[in-house]
Amino acid sequence: MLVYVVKRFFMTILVLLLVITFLSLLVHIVPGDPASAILGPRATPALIQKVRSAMDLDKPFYYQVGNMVLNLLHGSLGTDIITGQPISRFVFSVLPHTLILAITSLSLAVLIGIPMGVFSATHPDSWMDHLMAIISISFTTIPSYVAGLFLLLIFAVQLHTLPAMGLGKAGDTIDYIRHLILPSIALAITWIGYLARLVRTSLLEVLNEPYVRTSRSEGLSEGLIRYKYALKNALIPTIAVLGVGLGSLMGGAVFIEIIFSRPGMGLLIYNAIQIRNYPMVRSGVLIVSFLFILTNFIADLIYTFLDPRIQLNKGQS
Amino acid sequence: MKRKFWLLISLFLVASMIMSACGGLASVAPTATPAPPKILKARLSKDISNLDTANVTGKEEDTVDRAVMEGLFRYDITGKLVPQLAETYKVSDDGLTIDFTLRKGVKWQKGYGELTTDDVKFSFERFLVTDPKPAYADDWASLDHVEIVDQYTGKLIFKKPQATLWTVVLPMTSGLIVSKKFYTEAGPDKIKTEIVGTGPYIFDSWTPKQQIVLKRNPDYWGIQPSFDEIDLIPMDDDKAAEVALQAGELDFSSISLTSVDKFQADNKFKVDLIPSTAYSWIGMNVESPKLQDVNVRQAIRYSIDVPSILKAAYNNKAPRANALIPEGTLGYWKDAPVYDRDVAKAKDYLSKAGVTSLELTMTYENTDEYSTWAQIVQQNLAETGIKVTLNPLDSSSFWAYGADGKDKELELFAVGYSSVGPEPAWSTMWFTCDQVDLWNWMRWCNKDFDALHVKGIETIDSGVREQIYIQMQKLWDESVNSIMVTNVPQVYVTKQGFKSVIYPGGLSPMLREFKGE
Repeated sequence: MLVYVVKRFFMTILVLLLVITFLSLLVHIVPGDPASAILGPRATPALIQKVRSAMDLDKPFYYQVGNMVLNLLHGSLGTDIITGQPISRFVFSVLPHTLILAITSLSLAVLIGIPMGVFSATHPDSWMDHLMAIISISFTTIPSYVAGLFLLLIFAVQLHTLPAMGLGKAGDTIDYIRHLILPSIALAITWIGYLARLVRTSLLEVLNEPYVRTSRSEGLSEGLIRYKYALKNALIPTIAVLGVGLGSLMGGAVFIEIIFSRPGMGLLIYNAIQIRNYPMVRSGVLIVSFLFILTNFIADLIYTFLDPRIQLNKGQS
Repeated sequence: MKRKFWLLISLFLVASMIMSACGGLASVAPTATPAPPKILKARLSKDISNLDTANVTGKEEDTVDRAVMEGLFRYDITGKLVPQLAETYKVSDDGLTIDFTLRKGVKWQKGYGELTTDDVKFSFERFLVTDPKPAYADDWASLDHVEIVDQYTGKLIFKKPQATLWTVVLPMTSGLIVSKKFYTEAGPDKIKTEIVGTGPYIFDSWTPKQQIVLKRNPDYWGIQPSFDEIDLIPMDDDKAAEVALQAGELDFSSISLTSVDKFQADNKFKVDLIPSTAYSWIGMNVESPKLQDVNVRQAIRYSIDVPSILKAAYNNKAPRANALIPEGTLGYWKDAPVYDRDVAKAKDYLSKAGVTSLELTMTYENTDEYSTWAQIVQQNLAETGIKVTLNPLDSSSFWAYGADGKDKELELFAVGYSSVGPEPAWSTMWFTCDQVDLWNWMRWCNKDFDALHVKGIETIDSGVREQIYIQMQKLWDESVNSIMVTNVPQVYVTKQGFKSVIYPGGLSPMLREFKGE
């Protein structure tokens, strides 16, 4: 295990370095002048030059990489040229909300999607299985922003039962949770459908394994076979998917954040890209990449928790 | 297995709760208050980035600055220029000196002392520094210096007359007075996101990407404002703002023109279509080898069906523009020629130019508005025999044409600019010869136009000024460098029970004058 953790640590460093390098190269590839975009039409050439220099845009990419690494070693993400504020102020003011949204959405998906999949797999070809199939496939095909708009129109505009935008009053947890309900459902819907289909397929496969037939022939109860032995193995691919899903939701909930005017990492990066605020883009993507690696690492650890036969350091199951 | 599974689920939920707590969202026990504070919730179309009055980057910063800070003069709710912090003032006959006396006893917010002429001198002479020149340095280009007579009396001394002073400088953001003590103590970074003023609202807090909170200034020298608090919520997306209005979570917002009918039909809202100083057009790079011949440009002018663009892109809610300066601004050319589509005439011009086959690229920002324009232009020009390739770009790539002479690459383009207020010089300033390689994307250079632009700024008499700007627009029209399309009105929706006021020019809400139930 220790060897595995050490290996993953160095891999993480390598991936983050690649991310920084790629993002630094991006400055030279993507069209659009950040200084002009940031300062607006009235900016004087001297001011534009000052901003370009402050953003290291006039320096080679390896200088930018080195500078960012140096900043990181000092525990800093650098300073936002536009506002003069530390970039960490922006990142860490939105990061908790992104994490909460991602975790809540996936929790909802797990709580609803897995039971749906289990029910379908244990009642194959029943009318309920067909109904679940229709529901889950429909859910999978609905983009989160479409679901979000419908939820908004129904619950916020028509019924006025749930809030439409923002995070709620600062310091009011109940209000915060009310503001979380619609975006998290909108984001969870696709995952509910996907998990239901995934669990159904995996469980059906496992239920046809020889050891299940053997268990049945030995007279074990169906409930014990399904829920204690089969489901355990059927859930392993689901955990892998959840690990990736949580990571991708960190920076990928941008549409939901726009529709619900909810601050988050996706929106922060998207807005920064629009005005070519490269230091902000670099820091945002770096944090999202780190979280992506971390969630996958946690997913790997959960495999061993679910099935001790899986040995991480040997990369085999 | 079952236990492990539920243990995992529980861990997931507990983690979620812990994250919630980490987000600084600890619950607070409710306390009884005698009366709820009066709060206005208004949208900003993007987050603030630089509140420094000499370097503001957009109308959002203007909106916040003008609610918190004050100038010697301001626009009142009828759009009339009136004294604000100047108790008395006198302009010399040659227009080169403005004597003023400040209101006595006006206090800076947050304990920064009393307003004095030293603050006025600091505020305006800041624009004269050269390392580097502030973005709005041109606003005070004719200022020589500010003379302090005593604590409350002073003189603004100018090198030459400057008509724009009275329209877009003194009553707007560049004319706001800043606290010398605060600016000196805060330093160049802090003043981008923190301000101190003498106005009716105090800049209380800014949570990036979430909200800006303005609180009532209890020590305000004038009439107390209507609200205890104004929450400004940055929302980039018009549609999201419209849903928030309908859900009752915003009291005021700008919306898109396409949603006007929907809100007008709903008696919970009041919709204001404000004529704005924004102007949009289809430009032609006159230096492009394909467009150098004026006959080719005439052919394009007579090919394009502007009314169809207005119908398709704005649902006929935007007026047609026929010249550069919008209606309501001094210099508006009422009798400007209207060029209706005439394909036969267009083809004649094309054959006069000896052109048998022409392929052009049209560059534009990939918004719904300009995409609609481009499709119509493509269809229209195809009928004349001109093939148009569309080149939609994201905002930043598009505006990058305004630097380093990149505009040389343009042929046809759709673009919109706006003026900070109803001032003709703000419309003409981008099309002088020195703006070629910057914002004069038609690359049209006319020395007479330039000379008139300078004369227009230095002329105080409004009658003479009007004629100068009409003459400039005639030169523009003769050159056939563009097809003017519209002055897009700004649409504001206010919840019933609230009263909104917009600055002249239609671009910024005058928050200090908003009223509510």
